[in-house]
Amino acid sequence: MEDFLRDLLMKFYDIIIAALPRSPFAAFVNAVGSVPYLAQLNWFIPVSEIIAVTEAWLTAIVLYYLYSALLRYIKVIG
Amino acid sequence: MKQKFQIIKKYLTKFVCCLLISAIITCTTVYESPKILITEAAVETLATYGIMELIFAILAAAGVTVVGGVAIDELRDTDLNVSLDNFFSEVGDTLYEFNEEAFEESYNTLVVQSYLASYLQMACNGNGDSGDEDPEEPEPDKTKELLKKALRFLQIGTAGLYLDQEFNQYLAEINSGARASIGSYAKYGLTVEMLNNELFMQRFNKYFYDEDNHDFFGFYGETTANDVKQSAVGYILNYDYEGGVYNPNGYTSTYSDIKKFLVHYDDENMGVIIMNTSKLCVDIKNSKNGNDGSALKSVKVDNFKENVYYGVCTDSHIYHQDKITPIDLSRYYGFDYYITSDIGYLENNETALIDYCFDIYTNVVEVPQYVNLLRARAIASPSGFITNPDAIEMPIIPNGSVVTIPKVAEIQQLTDDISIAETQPEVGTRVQTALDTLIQPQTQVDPDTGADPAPNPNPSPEVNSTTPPDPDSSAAPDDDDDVDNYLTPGLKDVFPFCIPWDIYALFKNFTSGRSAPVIEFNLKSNRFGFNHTVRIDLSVFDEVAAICRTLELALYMMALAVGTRKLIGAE
Repeated sequence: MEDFLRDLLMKFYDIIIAALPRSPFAAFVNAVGSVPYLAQLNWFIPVSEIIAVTEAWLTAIVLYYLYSALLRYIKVIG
Repeated sequence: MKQKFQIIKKYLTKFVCCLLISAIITCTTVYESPKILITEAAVETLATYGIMELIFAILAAAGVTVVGGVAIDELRDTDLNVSLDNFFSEVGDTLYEFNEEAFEESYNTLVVQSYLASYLQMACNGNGDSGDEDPEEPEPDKTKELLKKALRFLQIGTAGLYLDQEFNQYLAEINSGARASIGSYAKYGLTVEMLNNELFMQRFNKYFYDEDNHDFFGFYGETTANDVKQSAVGYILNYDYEGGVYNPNGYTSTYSDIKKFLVHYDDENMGVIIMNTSKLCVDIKNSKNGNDGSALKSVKVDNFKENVYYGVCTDSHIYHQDKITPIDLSRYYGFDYYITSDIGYLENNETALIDYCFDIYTNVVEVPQYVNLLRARAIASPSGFITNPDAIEMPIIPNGSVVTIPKVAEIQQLTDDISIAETQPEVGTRVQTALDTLIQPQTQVDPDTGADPAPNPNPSPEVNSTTPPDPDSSAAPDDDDDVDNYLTPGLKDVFPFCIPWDIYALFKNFTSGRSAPVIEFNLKSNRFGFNHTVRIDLSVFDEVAAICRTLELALYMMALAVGTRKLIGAE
């Protein structure tokens, strides 16, 4: 029974996926990686570290707003 | 009232934006597998366990689909100083058809002392302890029969057969890495396409050249360090040798030919290329070593990141002549991440993998647990198979067949059945049927292989039930890259759900590789007869650049901090 339901869900999922269009950005996104002198650019600018820091920062900001909204909702702060 | 409504609206907007951002971050974070540097202890643990156990692990891997041949490497006989390459060049390459005559002939000329043979011998004696207590040489016929049976069996059940002879410590380390690489398949349930050397090169040549042009050689076929340098290193990897001197800035392989090949081959910009770097390493270090390395394989993975190339290597050293050069392999080979268990430790205990490493086992403890579980239950376990080798007629698999390895639960059922198959004919039939259903001969055989398209004896069962159909597969039915069918578009591939991944990939693409600029220009004067190329290599400022990058990062963080004040309304 579980298998049947799982298969059913998977087929439904497949139908939905097949109906949706593929990513229009993928080809262009991949092309970014083939830009020449990217390695040299990375030698000057720490892109990977910047991305990591940005991710962490965004997470912190999101958490801040979540807590802020929660505290406002329960009227701990004005 | 209106003012309050606007305030609420403002905060609601912020809240929704934050939720969206957090969703993007969560998606990207979850999608990225953990990066944990595997420890030396893990390597030792893996080395403790033999190859058979890890083959069992492969058997247990859910949904591993194997296409093509079996790679066998590094099997040698040290005592006789006879390479067993010939043995497997005859037997191994025709493994799917299992050339009995070649096996007999090769076997009789060699004393097989492989790990597998001794393992089988121990199994034949009843248990592992008896093998240790009884150091007598195994009966040749018995060992041969067991080895033959195992080889035939493994045709249907392995993603790679590494018979290793630990003829010296150096190669033993490599072998342990090879095992671990195989183990990684099991760990992540990868879908693997196995290509033997010939098949790989055929496809490689087909991409770069005409089908009939086989002048190009990749990692295979070279016998000298010079060949490796010129063809494998120089050509494939764009590795720049100048007068035999290693030039650390010469590699420009971030988007190397191999990667382009994979892009073409995968047609979906996703793939893993597995390299046993031993050939490269050994040959460069010691040209007279004829070690044939391992297969170069592309692996399709569902649960890895898209648009990211993973290199799987069994040795992270890059050897050049007598010098061990610490090098960032991610830059060297142009892959973004590496799957390896064999972190190369240099003389000063530095690891050769500087930037990236992708662990195959997140927990060392789980390795023996996993192996022990499989040892007791796996279908290839001596207790279930070797003691009754004639109970089942192992099927012969046409080259290029698709073999789906059963899941753990199915293996358990199968092993239970095998143990009683001899006495109960109906169970034997059931086992035979189960084994038959694992094999799906290819309907579209690669014309390069020359293999006859074998009819599918089991057309009804859909073995790859977990693999949803590819909507694009019908568009290119004549494409011999049949692995494309395994690449299933998920939510991350379709619009509009793909947007977070696309954004992530966009920025991620900027992070690949890092190398110092090298500027060359020519100074020429006919009047003074002067012609000289000036080469400005900024790699001498690597340390300075690192400091600059750190300062830039600090500046960026300060900017973020200042921006945060505005963002949260503290000003």
